[in-house]
Amino acid sequence: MANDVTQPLLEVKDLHTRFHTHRGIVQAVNGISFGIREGELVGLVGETGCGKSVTARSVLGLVRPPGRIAEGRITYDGIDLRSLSRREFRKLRGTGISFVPQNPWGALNPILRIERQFRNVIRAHTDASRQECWDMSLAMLQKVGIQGPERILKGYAHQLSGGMAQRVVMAIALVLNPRLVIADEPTTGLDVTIQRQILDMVMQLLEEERRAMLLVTHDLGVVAQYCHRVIVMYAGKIVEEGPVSEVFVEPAHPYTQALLAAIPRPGHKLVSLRGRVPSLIDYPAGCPFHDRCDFAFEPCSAEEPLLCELSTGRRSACHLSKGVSELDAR
Amino acid sequence: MRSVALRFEVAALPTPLQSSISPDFVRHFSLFAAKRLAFVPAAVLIVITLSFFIVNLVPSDAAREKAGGLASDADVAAVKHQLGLDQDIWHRYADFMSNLLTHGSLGRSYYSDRPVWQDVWLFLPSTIELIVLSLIIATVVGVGAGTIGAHFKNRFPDFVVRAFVTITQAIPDFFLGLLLIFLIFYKAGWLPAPTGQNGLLEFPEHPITHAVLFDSIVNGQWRLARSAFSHAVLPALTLGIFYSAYFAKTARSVIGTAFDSYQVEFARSLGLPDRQVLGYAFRQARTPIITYGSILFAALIGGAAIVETVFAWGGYGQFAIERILHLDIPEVQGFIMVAGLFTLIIFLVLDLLVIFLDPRVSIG
Ligand SMILES: Nc1ncnc2c1ncn2[C@@H]1O[C@H](COP(=O)(O)OP(=O)(O)OP(=O)(O)O)[C@@H](O)[C@H]1O
Ligand SMILES: [Mg+2]
Repeated sequence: MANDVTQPLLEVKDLHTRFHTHRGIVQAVNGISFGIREGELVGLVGETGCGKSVTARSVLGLVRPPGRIAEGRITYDGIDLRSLSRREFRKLRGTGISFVPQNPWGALNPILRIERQFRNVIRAHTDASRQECWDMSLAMLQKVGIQGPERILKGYAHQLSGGMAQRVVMAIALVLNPRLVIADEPTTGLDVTIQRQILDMVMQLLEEERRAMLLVTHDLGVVAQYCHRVIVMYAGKIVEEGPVSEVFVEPAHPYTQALLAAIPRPGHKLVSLRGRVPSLIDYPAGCPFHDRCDFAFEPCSAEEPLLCELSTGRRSACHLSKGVSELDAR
Repeated sequence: MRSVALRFEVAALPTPLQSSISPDFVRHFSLFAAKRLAFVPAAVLIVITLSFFIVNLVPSDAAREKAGGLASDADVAAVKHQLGLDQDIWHRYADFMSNLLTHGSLGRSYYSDRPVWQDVWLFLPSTIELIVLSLIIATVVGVGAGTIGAHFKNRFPDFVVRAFVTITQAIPDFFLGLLLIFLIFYKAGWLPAPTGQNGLLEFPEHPITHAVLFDSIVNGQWRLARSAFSHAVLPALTLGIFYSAYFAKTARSVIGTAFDSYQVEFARSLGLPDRQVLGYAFRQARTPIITYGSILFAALIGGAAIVETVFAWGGYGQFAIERILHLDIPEVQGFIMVAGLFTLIIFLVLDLLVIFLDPRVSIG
């Protein structure tokens, strides 16, 4: 049933999210499907504007007009999220699925003590007493590696450093033990050492407690280090998906190859992608990547390649998928 | 070992955050207030000077107006001399300033010979009373409508709000007043005739400020208070509805922005109840809304004049219009100066309030 081992915790099927703007309909997410299993840490990567945040918001039910989920099915723990009432969905957020946003200072309320912000969340879903709220918050802050948590709880957001604020935001998101955490570039903007410290701590915590995470990021290094699986998006679609150990070693899609080549590494020539992302309003025919692709041939501009399974858990959407490694040698 | 020591140290720090008004806050705030107040004298001087020159540089023939249409040129010249209008403008400015600085006097009306200050105290409170009532209505209706618009952005309720804004902005305020008089007094008979702040046969006793509603409440004259209230409804509604359109427009955009903020998104993503999410959004929107309300408050000192006239309110704006038509220079000067000083004070209070509400200042 709901806790069937074979069934993913989160399952997204053929999701389409569109924004109705005065310039036209923006196909921000254009028919993506993926799953996340219990305890699985999944990275979601892609260039800016490819639909990562919109995907995250769609799952959380936070797409606001002019945006709309036009089609698709999202199931969490066997529950069809799109059929939930507003109230039921609200009850699920924070307790089942929760969210870590990008900008921790922006996300915290500047006029409420941190303690109160924890309490608001806990009380929104339980009838814990003030003391219980305090204890839960304290324990959670300790878990995310904050020393002197009493003092933090009594303070306000602007008294925190960037790294501290992000830990606090994570602790608030995790305080009711959600089984799935969606983080949208949680450490962007922090300095690299602090980024690593925070991710080390959070990812280890999630791993120990077998919580799942969808980690949206630009940083392929982060995905390689912390995630089990990676999903690569391009122009609102998934172009490649698979275990980190395979995708990063032998990327099947030319776009993934280009992304990986764009990471500066000693002993490698730095390649940057030419051309621009296609318009999400007038979606081009054929493969969305064809005019930037070094390997494009006739079918690419005419027919859109489907996401095919290459091996178990490994998918790619490219007409060349099976022959890419040979062409790569050119 | 080190980290244990550190942990102890941090936890043992005193927490200066127990009360929300810390000594630090008092210091920050006083410093800011002092800096802000330092500009006031210069600003006051500018306002006073401007109010003199605006009135005196506009070509007009106050002496002929006062002497009357049938007066001979010699009569007019005599009046001119009597009013001091035959002197050059710098001389008059020096007289005006020295009178103001030494006696605190703004001169006397050319017609009634009453001191200008006396008329200020007689008429200004009634206008302020009307403005306060109007702004309450404008804020409640405007912010309410704007919130609905922002919440249902580009959906049906939002179109209704936008239609309301467009229509209300297109109708002049006095016309809206006449419309309300026609519908609510004349047709429906729900409210009394536009005879000012009270009925024609009511004579307020023991006036304190001459703002009838305020005075009657302070004096505990409940019958009069009730009548004054019902007389205040239509003019306040007229201005309230008219200006709520501007409020709605501002509120719709700032609350819309707040709804899209990280803070509100995070609150939503944690499953906070809608009421609380709205509270988070309001807090972000409050500064622009307070600012907007203050600007309106200041602008309405003169801006309410026509509506005051329509309802025979007997406020300072209505009084000023009459004085302007008679070229009663000292009274008009006084009006412009008072309106200017009033604006200055409101903006001062606004600045202090905004800084007071800023958590980075008020909390530490
Ligand atoms: N409110 C909106 N109105 C119109 N279009 C939108 C809106 N929000 C997102 N989009 C469009 O949807 C597309 C995907 O946006 P999204 O924010 O998901 O990108 P992203 O992959 O998260 O990018 P980034 O890495 O910059 O965060 C973009 O092309 C964007 O223009
Ligand atoms: Mg994004």
